[in-house]
Amino acid sequence: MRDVAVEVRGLTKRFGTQVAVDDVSFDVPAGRIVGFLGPNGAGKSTTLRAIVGLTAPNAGTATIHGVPFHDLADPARTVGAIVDGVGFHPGRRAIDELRIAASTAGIPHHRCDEVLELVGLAAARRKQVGRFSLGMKQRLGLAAAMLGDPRVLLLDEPANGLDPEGIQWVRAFLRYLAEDGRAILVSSHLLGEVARLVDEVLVIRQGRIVAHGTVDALTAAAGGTTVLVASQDDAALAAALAQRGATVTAHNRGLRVEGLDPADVGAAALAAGVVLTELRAMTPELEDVFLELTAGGGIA
Amino acid sequence: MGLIAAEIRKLASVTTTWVMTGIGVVLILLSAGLFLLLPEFGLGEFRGADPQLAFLVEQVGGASIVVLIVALLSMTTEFRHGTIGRTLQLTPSRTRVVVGKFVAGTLYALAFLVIGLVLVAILAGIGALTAGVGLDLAWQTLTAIWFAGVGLVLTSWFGVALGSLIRSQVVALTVTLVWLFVIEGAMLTFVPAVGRWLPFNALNAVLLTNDVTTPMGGPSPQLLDPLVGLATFLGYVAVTAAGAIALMRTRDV
Repeated sequence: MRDVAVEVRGLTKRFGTQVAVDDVSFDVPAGRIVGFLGPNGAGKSTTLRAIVGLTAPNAGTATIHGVPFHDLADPARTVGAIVDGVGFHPGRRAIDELRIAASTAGIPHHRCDEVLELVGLAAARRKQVGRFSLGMKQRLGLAAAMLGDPRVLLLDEPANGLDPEGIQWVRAFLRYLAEDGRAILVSSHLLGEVARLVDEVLVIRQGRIVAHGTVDALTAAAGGTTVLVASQDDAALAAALAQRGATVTAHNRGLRVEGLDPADVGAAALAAGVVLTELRAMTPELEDVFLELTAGGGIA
Repeated sequence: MGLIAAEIRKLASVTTTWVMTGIGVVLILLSAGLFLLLPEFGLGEFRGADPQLAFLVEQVGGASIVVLIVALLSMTTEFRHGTIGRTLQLTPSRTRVVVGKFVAGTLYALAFLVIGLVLVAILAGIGALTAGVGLDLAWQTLTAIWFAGVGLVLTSWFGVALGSLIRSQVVALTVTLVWLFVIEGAMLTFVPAVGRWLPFNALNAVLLTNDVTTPMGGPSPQLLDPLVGLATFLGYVAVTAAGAIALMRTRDV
């Protein structure tokens, strides 16, 4: 049985007549990174804000280890969150921002230096946040989220504004935290990064969860494998493949085959005595799945 | 205590607080200094008398706009820069967050009072030395100090409450300053029977109990009696504070 850290059940939030989040339910297990994907306005941030009590849902519940956020005895040591971007006073020094949070949460101030070191901002501790790059602000946001060494992290676009090196750092950092048993819910529009980072994916569209599963399961459900093949006699090969029930269409200087896997295509070519010059499997990327799901269709 | 320490650090770690305090210092020095240097302004020849000292002390309360703005910004800044989200994540009880700001505002108001009193004491001391007189510090001065302290503390609460109710920084500042300097001023001038009951005029009855245009020590005829003014302003503060807490508890952030 999974150790569920975050449990969301039937969460619904309306703004006037507009339904921002509609009966959303999901779990974030300990030790797992769950990606939360959706186009702008799909309800990602509203869901995250409802989990941490910044917005009151019209229906449903969100709990952290079975406790609503408002009732947590020590929220900073339970949940670290970046929601709606990283908010800091531009005129305040980085170390002051963290010390303010530490004082509020009853965390020793030496922890502020530790988390700044952790995110690679130790040298900028006395610098005003207004002079930070977006990437540095993201790192400071992660430092603030990690201040209480929480077991649950809710991160809204944590890689936003980071350079490739920074993105790689975030990926390694979050993976390290997840392997340490923490539950991490991370929203992002950087689909390639999400695919390489997360264990599970939640896709939300117009306030509703339209898919939930592992990246492999979602991409498999989205349509299986397409094979691109070229040969010295495409006409003979197309006939042989069609005999085996494949759907074959012309594609650039070869054929596009659906309904057979690469081994079957190779076997058909061998049986027909056709020499292959190219054989390539194309598995749908998470981006393809995302676009399909958010364009209207659903999978799960 | 951690929440209060955090709120104090929030105030102390931004330039605006120090700039506003500096402006307050200049205002107190200018007003008290001018009354000392220019007897024709109403204070008369400085003799170090108790009513004269009380009048100088009132110049500290006269700079209450500084306390009002700092307190108001303590809340609106949270919304403007998006730090309110982290504040509420660290302290989920929104009532505690607002009360924490009331306490921090109180401490700032008292610190401002102390700074102001030190400035006034220095100026009065210089005036006494120059005139070759002693300082007759008695009940009128002490009363002025008491009213200044109470008035500034209540002003800070009013500022925090207004900042919570009108969370847009620009709108909150504009509305407050226009109300304070234009509407209440005009109402007191043209409809004094109503204008004197408005919040900042009621506060002025507390902070400015000695009107320079009347014989020394007399209250301004336009304003309420100081105790009535105090009760009136306290009522405004109570209503806005209750409204601020109620709104903060229910609003989406």
